[in-house]
Amino acid sequence: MRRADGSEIVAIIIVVSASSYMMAIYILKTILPFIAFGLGASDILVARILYIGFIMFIFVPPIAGYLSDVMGYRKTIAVATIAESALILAYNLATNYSELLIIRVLQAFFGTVLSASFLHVSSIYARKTGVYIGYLRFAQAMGMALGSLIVALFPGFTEETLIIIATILCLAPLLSILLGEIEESEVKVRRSYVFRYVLRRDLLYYYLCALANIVSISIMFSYVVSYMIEQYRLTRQIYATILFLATTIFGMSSIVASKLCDRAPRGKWPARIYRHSAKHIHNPDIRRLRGSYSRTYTI
Amino acid sequence: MNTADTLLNISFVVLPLLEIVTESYGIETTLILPAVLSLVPVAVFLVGKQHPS
Repeated sequence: MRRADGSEIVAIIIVVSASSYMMAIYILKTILPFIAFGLGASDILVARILYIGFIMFIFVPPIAGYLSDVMGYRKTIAVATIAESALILAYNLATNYSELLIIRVLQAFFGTVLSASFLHVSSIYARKTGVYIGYLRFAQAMGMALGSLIVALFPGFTEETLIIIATILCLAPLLSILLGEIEESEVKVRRSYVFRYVLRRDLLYYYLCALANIVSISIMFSYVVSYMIEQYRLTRQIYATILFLATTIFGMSSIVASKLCDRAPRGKWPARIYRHSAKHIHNPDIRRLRGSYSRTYTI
Repeated sequence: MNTADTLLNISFVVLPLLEIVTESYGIETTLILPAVLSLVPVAVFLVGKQHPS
């Protein structure tokens, strides 16, 4: 039997920690609407609890980037992991909607810092060790699916028990501290150039598609979910099963999508889509953009 | 490209605004939005097909 060398161990750490973290988040995400309904929240208030995670993505990633630059990725990940785990555990202490909202805001803040820093580090190490980025996304999506699956398979588990399981799994990003600090070559780029580049007219089609995608997904995971649970009186188990099926399909399609995107400039019908939607899809910067916007799924 | 990512994330401001829409026009209006938005990539593809570069 072949012995694992350093890069294989690194690859295992990346995949295990990323999928365990996503598992924790999806256990929480699955039971969160039920915790809120249990505290007497209306469907709009439940939607608010759910969409706070998306709101954090408006302003927290730049803060996470700044903190990572100043403190280093390892310290940022360590602090954010411990804070988010403690806050997940604090859901067990919420006795009314206001307390739940405060815990949710804080947990989403640290969660966004963690996911921005940790998933960035994971992507860099995945590239370094030759783990295909689509497989990293797949591992994350499998973590999401397994999180929902645990809730679906064990209806006897109380919300308190599931919260404790999520708290333990949320500590997984601490493993990435073993990998050491990442060193990125600093490229000085003028801010005006960045804005000119990003606001190019030929990216308009891409932005339209990306905007439609992320806005519709955020509405689905907030308003639609709370309405669906209340209107159809979904049990925790049924909702968890629906979420499991959705995230499994997402995981499988992420590999297919990554492969299609890689072939896009040479292929037939993918090329036609991308020639019209994002002419510069072959540009490595745009590849990075595509990967990063799937991050909106994480909180 | 994080700049583009951040710009796209600004679109999440619609989520609190949808609370007003939901209270004024009912949840059905909000629920129909994802269906309408899912047509955008199709529209982009068709527009691109009619105006090849």
